[in-house]
Amino acid sequence: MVLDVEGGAELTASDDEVHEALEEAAEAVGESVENVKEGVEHILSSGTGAATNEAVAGTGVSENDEAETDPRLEAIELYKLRRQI
Amino acid sequence: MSTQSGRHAAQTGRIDTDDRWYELYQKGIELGTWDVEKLVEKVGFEDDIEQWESMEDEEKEQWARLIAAFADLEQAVAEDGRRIIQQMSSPYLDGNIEKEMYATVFTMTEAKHVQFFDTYINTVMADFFPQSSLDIRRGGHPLPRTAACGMSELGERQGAFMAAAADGGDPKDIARAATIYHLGVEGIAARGGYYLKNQMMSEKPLPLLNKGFQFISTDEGRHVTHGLELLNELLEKERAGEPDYQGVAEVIWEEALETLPCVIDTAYFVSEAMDDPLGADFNGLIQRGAELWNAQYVETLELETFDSTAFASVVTDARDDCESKDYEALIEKNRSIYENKLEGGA
Repeated sequence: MVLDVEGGAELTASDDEVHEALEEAAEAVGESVENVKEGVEHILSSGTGAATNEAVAGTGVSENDEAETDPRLEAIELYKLRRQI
Repeated sequence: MSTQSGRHAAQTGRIDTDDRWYELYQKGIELGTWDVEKLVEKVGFEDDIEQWESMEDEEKEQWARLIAAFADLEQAVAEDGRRIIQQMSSPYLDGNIEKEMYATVFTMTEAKHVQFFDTYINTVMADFFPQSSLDIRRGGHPLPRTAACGMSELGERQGAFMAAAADGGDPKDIARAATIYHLGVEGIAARGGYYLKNQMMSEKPLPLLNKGFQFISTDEGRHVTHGLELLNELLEKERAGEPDYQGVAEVIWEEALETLPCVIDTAYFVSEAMDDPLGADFNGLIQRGAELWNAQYVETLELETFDSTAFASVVTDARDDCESKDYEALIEKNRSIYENKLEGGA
C-alpha cells in the first residue's frame, strides 16, 4: 500500500503486517481484499494524497493508546468499524 | 457486458462513473454514511465519562475550548451545505450531475458532524456546557468559548461569502467562498484541530470522541479534495485566459491570508493561552499548519506565491495579537450574552 503522509504519522508496520491485516479485515467484513484496500487508501488520503486524514494518519496519532502504531493499521480498524455502524 | 465474477456489469447513461466527482460521491456513500447513533451504541459513553470525571478542571477547560469550536463550526458549515448545492449549478462551473450528486452527500455528512458533537458535549461534557441550545446564527450566538476566539469570526466570514457565491456569484466569489470553507476552515483549521486532538488524546484519551473525530476527519478529507478540485477548475480557466475567470488566484491569496489569523487565534486560545495542561503543542501545530498550507496552495494548486515566508509572517503577527488578549474575560462576556439570549427566548 503506497501512502505519502509527509509530516504525519510514521509508518512502523511492515508491508507483510499490513497485508495480513487487510486479509483479516476482508474476511471479517465479507469483502475482497482489493475492496478493503481501496477503502483504506481513501480513508488515509481522500483519494488524492493532497488531503491527508489528520485524525487517522496525522502527527501524534500513534502516541495515542486508543490507536494503532501505524496509520495504515489504524485505517483498517476504522474501515472494519465503519462496516459495523 | 459481464464482469470477472460473471455478473452483468452496470451501465449508466447520464452519469459518468469515471468522473472525479462521481468517485467522491461514491466514496461518500461507501464511507460517509456512518451512523452516529450506532457509533455511540457500539463504543459507548462509559469510558469517556469515566476519563472526563477524573480530569482536573483546567484539563476539562482545554478540551471544552477545542470541542466548542468544532460544535459551532460544524453547525456553520452544515448550514452552508445548501449553498454548496446551489454553487454546483453555477454557470461558471463545468456543469455535471456528478457534482450535484456529490454535494447532496456532502451536506448529509456535515449534518452528522453536528449531531455527533451536540450529542457528545451534552452527554459527556455537560458540566462544562450547561447551555448549548442556541443556533450559531439566525439570532442565536456561538458558544461562549467559540465567541471568545477567532473561530467565531471565521464562521461569520464563511457564511457571508458562501451566500454571495451561491446567489449568482461570479468565479471570484466562488473562489473566495471555496478558499475559506474548504481550505481555511476544513483544510487548515479543522485539520489543525485534529492535530491538537491527537496531542491531547495522548494525555487523556477519550475513546468515543477519538472514533468520532476519525470518521469526521475521513469525511472532511473528501471535502478538502472537493475544494482543491473546484479551485483547480477555476484556476485552469484563468490560466487559459478566459476573461470571466481573471483574478481568481489573487482572490484565493487574499482570502488565505485573511483566514489564517483566525485559525492562529483559535490554536493559541486552546493551548498557550491556558498553559497547555494536556500538551496540545502550539508550536508543533504551527509546523504542521505550514506543511498543510504548502501541500494545499503550492503543491496542489501550484500557486507559487504562497511561500512559507508569507505564512510565517502572518503567524508572527497573529501570535503577537493573541498575547495581548484576555481570553477569560472574553469568555465571561460572551457567557453573559449567551445567557441573555437564552432568557430572551432567542
